[in-house]
Amino acid sequence: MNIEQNLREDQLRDFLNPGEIEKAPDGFTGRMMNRLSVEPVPVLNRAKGRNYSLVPAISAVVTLALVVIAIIFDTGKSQSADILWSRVIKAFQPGLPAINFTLPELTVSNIIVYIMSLSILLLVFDLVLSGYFGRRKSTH
Amino acid sequence: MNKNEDIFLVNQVLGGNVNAFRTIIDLHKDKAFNLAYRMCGSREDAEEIIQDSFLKAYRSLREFRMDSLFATWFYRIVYNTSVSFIRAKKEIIILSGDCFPDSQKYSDTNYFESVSEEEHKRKLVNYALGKLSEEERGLISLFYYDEHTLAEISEITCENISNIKVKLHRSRKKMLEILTGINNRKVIAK
Repeated sequence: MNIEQNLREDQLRDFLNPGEIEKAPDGFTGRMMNRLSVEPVPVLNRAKGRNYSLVPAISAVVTLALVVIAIIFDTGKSQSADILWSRVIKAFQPGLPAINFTLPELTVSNIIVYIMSLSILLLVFDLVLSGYFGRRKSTH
Repeated sequence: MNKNEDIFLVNQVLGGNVNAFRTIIDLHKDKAFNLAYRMCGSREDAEEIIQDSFLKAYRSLREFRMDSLFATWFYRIVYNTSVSFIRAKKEIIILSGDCFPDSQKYSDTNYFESVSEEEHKRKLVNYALGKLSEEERGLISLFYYDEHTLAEISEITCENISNIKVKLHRSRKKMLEILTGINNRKVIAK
């Protein structure tokens, strides 16, 4: 604070009039309110009403849909899609350790296990973060 | 205005009571105008700047964190809007008798004949302010005219306190050199 005091008690104060305020023109508030009357009201209620976040919900649905499609194709129900999907999986397979995972009457390939695990982790993380920041925003 | 009043008024607006924003405007318009005017040097431009600033504040009111003062948050908007406005013009600020004086020929005799000492001082200050950058003018205004603390200025300008001290010291020195130089001799326009 000594430095601040020194800064204030300096020669420049002889020239300036500290505290001298140039006031806004007359009628400014009225003009400003007129201008704001065409703006959408920044209401917080809409955000308060939502207890969920669209982003993680959409990403979870899309991810699960892709995984389901991958599982269906992987069981050989569609031959041409299966070939294409196999190529995609093979492109990612180098470097990944082999995981054998079998559900009753359903064989799940290696890459799908990774996708499912990652998706679930991302979903949980996303929801936790959204909940945390959503609570912070709504506190007054 | 204290933090509780800030929170109350902001919550009123966010709850749909737009008229509460009128109170916010009334409470902050003069200081905001003063800052914008000191930075840009023109009353017309300053009014445009604070109109834009209030509009930005209104639109982003939901983003205002209730743990800081509304004034600090809003003056940050005014400061940044002023800097952007001045830079966007990309011209040397036209100096006029109303703000930063034009390159007029001053002679001691004529100067003191035509204006009072108060007016002389005001024109001197405006002339010196015109020689500073927009950021330097902002610092001078925030520190000397609005009498903010260094911590508040740091929050408004989003610079750390050490930088603020250095820049303020330089701005003050530069301005003092101009003012004392003019005061001691004739000023001849180029």
